[in-house]
Amino acid sequence: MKKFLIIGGGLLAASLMAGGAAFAKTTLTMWTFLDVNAKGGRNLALKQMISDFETANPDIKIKVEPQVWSTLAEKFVLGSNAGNAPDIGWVNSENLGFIMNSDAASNLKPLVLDGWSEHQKQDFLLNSSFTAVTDGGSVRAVPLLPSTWVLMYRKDLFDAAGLTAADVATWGGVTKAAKTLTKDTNNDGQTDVWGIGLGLSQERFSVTPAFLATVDGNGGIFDDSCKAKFNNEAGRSAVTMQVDWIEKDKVTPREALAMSSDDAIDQFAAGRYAMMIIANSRYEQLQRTAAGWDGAKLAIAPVPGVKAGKPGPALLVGWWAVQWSKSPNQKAAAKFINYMSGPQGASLWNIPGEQIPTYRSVAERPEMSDPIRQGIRATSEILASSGVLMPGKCNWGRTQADFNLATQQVVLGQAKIEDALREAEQATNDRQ
Amino acid sequence: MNRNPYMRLALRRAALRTVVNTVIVLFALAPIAWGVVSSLKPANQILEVPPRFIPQDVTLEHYERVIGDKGLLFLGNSALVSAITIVFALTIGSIAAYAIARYEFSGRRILMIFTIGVMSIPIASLLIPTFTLLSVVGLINTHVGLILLYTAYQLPIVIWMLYGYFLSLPIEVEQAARIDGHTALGTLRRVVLPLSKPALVAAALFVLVFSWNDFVVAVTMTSSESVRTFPVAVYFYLGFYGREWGPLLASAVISIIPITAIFIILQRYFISGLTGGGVKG
Amino acid sequence: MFSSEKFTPYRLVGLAVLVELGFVIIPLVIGFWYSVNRVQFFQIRGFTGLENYWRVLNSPSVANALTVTIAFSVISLFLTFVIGFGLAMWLERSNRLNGVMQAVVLIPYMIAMLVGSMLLKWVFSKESGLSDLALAPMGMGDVSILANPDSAMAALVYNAVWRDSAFAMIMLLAGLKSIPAHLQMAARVDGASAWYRFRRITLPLLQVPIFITVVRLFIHLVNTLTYPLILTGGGPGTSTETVVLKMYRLGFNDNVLGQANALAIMVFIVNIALVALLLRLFKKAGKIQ
Repeated sequence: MKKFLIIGGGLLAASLMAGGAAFAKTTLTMWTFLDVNAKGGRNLALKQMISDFETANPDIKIKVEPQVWSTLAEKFVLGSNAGNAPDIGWVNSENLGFIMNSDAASNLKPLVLDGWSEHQKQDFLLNSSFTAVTDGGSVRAVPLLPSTWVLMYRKDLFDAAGLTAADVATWGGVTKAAKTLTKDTNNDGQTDVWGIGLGLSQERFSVTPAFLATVDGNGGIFDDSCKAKFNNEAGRSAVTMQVDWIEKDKVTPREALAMSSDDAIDQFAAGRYAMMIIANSRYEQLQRTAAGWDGAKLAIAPVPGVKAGKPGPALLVGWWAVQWSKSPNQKAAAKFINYMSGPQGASLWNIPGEQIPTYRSVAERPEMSDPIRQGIRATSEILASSGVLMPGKCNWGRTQADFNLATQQVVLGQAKIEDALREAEQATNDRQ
Repeated sequence: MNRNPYMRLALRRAALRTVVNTVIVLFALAPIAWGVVSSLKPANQILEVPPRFIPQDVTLEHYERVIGDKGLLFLGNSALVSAITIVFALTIGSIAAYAIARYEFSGRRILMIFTIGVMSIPIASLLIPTFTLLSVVGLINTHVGLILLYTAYQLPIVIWMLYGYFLSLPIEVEQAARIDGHTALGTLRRVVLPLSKPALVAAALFVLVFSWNDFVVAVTMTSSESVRTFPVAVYFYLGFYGREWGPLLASAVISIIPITAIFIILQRYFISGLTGGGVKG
Repeated sequence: MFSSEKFTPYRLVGLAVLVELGFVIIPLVIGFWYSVNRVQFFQIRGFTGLENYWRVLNSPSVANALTVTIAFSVISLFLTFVIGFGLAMWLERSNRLNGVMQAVVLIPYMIAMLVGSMLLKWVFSKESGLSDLALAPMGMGDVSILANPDSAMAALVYNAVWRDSAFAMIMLLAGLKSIPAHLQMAARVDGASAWYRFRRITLPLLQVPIFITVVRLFIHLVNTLTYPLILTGGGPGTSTETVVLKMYRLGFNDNVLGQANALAIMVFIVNIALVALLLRLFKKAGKIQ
C-alpha cells in the first residue's frame, strides 16, 4: 500500500510537471525579412523549419514578424536600447556593425556554438566567418543564408560573339567584352543591348564593381582600426573604370546614374544588358523574369580580378541570426538559432530555400547535382575558392553608395576623381 | 446674322474649355491611369518595351495576391487608425480652437505662434527620438501609439482651420446660449459645432489624407503585422530580392480607391468648409 | 469674447497642449539633446557641445543641399501657386463640370505621396519605356530624365506641382468663394475690365488666403522627404539632395544622429524665421493684423 502510494504520488507529480511544462509555453518573437505566409523558396523553408521545430519542442512557439529589410538592424538596436527588441533578429552583413558596436546581442558561443559536436564543426563550411563577428571571445551572430556577388552574363550573347567566361576573368577583359556586346540590334541609332549594367543610385543601392575592384587591388578597404583607405591608385583606377564605361567606352547607359540596383536588375531581366555584377541570390528571380531571352542562358562567373590569374574577391555576405541580450528566453531562443543554423536547418535552406549549402554534408547530397541547382553549385565553388570576409566591426554598410556617388560626381563633372574619392573615404570614416 | 458672332464666340469658348480641361485631366490622371493599366497586366508584360497602353492580356492576379497577403487586415488597420485619429484630432482641436477664438487670455498669442511652430517641424527629424519615447512608454508597435502621433501632427492644422471658422460665426447665438446656462463645452457642442459642419468635414479630410497615406511614421513605429497599415504594406512590395511591380501597382491602386470615394462623396462640404474659416487669418 | 471666466480657456486648450508637449515637444527636446552629443549606433557617447552644429555648417554636402532646397522650394512654390491660382479661377463657377474637374485635380493630392512619387518615377524612368516614347520623336530618345541634373530637378518640381497645385487650388477657391458676389457684379456693371477686377477686387480680398496658402505650401515643400527620397533618390550625384533628405541620410544611413539632429534643429529655426518674414511682408503689403 505504501509502495503503491509512493508510485502513485510519483506518477502524479510527473504528470503535473509534464502538464505544467506543456502549459508554460514560451513564445519567441523573431524579426526577419522573410514572410512565412508568402510564396518563395526561403519563405517555405522557414515555415517548414518552424513547424518541425515546434513539433520537436512543444513548449516553444515561434512568432515571426516580417520587417522592412533595410531598417531591420537599426530597429533591432533601437528596440534593444528601449527594452523591447524581439528574442531573435536577422541582420545582414553590411549592418553587422550595429550589432558589434552595441550591447544588443547575446554571446552565442556558450549558448549555441559550444554545443556543436566536433563532427558538426568539421562539417560546417563557414567556420572562418565567425572571425568577423567575434569580439573579445564573444560571438555575436551566426550565419544563416550566405550569399556573395558574382558576375552574371547571358550565355546566348556570349556564344554569338564568340566569348567565353575566360574572356571576362579580369576587369580589362570585361571592358573589352562589353564593347563587343554593346549593340544596336534594330538599327534605329540607339543602343538596345548594353555590355554591362550598373545601378549607381544612392537609394536602394547594392553592389558596385568599383568597390569590388578596390577591395581586390587595395587588399581590403580598412586598416586594423577600421579606418578606410581607398583614395589611392587602386581606388582611382577602379572608379575611373566605371566612369569610362559610361563616358568613354559607352558600354553602360548613362541612365545608370539614376538607377537603383533593382532598376538595373529589372533591365537585365528585360534583356537590355549582357553582363552585370549581382548577388547570387537573384539568380532564380532573373531566370524566372527573363523577358525576350531564354532565362536558362543565364550564367555565373567569378567576380573579375584586377590582375590576370587571380579572380576578384567573392565577399561573403548575407543574413545572420542574432539573439537579443536582454531577452527573457535566452535558452529557448538559442535553441531555435541552433536549429536554424544546424544541419537540419541548412538542408531546408538549401531545398526548398535554394540557398548556398552551409554544410559539406548538404553540399554533397545528390539533389545538389540537379541541373537546376547549377547556379548554387557555381556560387558555392566560387565562395570556396575565393571567399573573402569583410570585418564585422567596421561599418561599410554605405561604402558602396559612397563609391556610387564618387562615380556620379566624376561623370557629371562635379568633382575631380581625387576629390570625389577623398569625400567617399571621409564619408565611410565618419560612420565608424 | 446678328447672333452669329456670339455663336462663334460661344463655340470658340466651348472649344477652349474642352482643350484646357483635357489638358488638366491628362496632367492630373495620366500617371495614375498608367499605374492602373499596368497593374492589370501579367507580370512578364509589365516591363515590356515598347509599352502597350491597352494590355494584351488582362489579369487580376496581382490584386488577388495583395488581398491574399493579408491586404484586408492592413486596410482595416489603416481605416481604424485614420478614423480614430480624425475623432481625436477634431474633438481636441475644436475645443482648443474654440478657446482661442472666443476667449482673451494671456498666453493666447504664444499659443497661436506655438501652433505655427509645431507645423514647421520636419517630421522626419522627430522619428528616432519619437521611437525612443514610444518604446519607453510602451506605445511602440501599437495602434494607440500611431493614433496619438498622427493626432499630435495634425492638431495644429485642425486648430488653425476651425479657429478661423469659429471667428466667422456670429457670437450672439453663443452669448444667448451662455445666458441660458450652458457651459463653454455645452455651447460648443450644442451651438457652435452644429453650425460648423462644413469646416469639420474639411478638417477631417485633411487629417484623413495624412493618416491614410502616411508611410514614414508608420514604418518606423510599427513592426508586427497586426498593426501594419496599408502604405507600409505597399512599401513591402519594393521587396528585397527583387521588386514586384505587379502587386506594388495593384496595392497602390487599392490604396487610392477608398480615399477617392470618400473625397468625392464629401466634396461639396470641402470647399464651403474652407470658405468659412480655413482661409481666414 | 468671454473674458469673465478666468480658467476656462486654459482648461479648454489643456488637452491639445498636452498632446503636443508629449508627442512633438518631448521628441524635439530629445533630438536637441542628441544634437549636442556624439551619438553612435543610437547610443550617446559623450557631450560635444556645438561641435555637431559646427560640422554640419562646414559640410560642403550640407551647403549643396541648402542650394538644392532653395532652388526646389522656390521654383515649386512659384509654379504650384500660379497653377493652383489658375485652376481656382478656371474652375471657380459652381457647376457640375467644374465639380468633376475639381475632383480630378484633387486626386493626385489625396493619394499617398509614396504612391504618387513611385508612379511618376516609373513614368520618368527609362524602364517603363514611356519617356522614350514621348521623347524619341523629338530626337531625344537617348535622353534620360532622371540621370541629368537639370531634368532630374525638373522632374522633382513636376512631382511637387502635380500633387500640390490641387492644395493651392482648393485653398484659393475657398478664398474666391468668400468674396461677396455683388462686388464683382458692381464692377462689371461699371464696365471694369477683367484684369482691373482681378487686380482691384480679387487680389486685395484674397490676401489672407494667399498668405495662408503660401505659408503652408512653403512649409510643406521645404520639409518634404518623400519626393526626393522616392523619385530621384537625391541624384544624379547630389543634384536633388534636399536638406531634409540629407538630414534623413545623416540619421538613418550614416548613423550620425548628433549631426542629423543638429541639422534638423537648424532647419526648424530657419522655417520659423521664414514664416515670420513672410508674415512681415504680407503685413507691410496689406491688412493682416
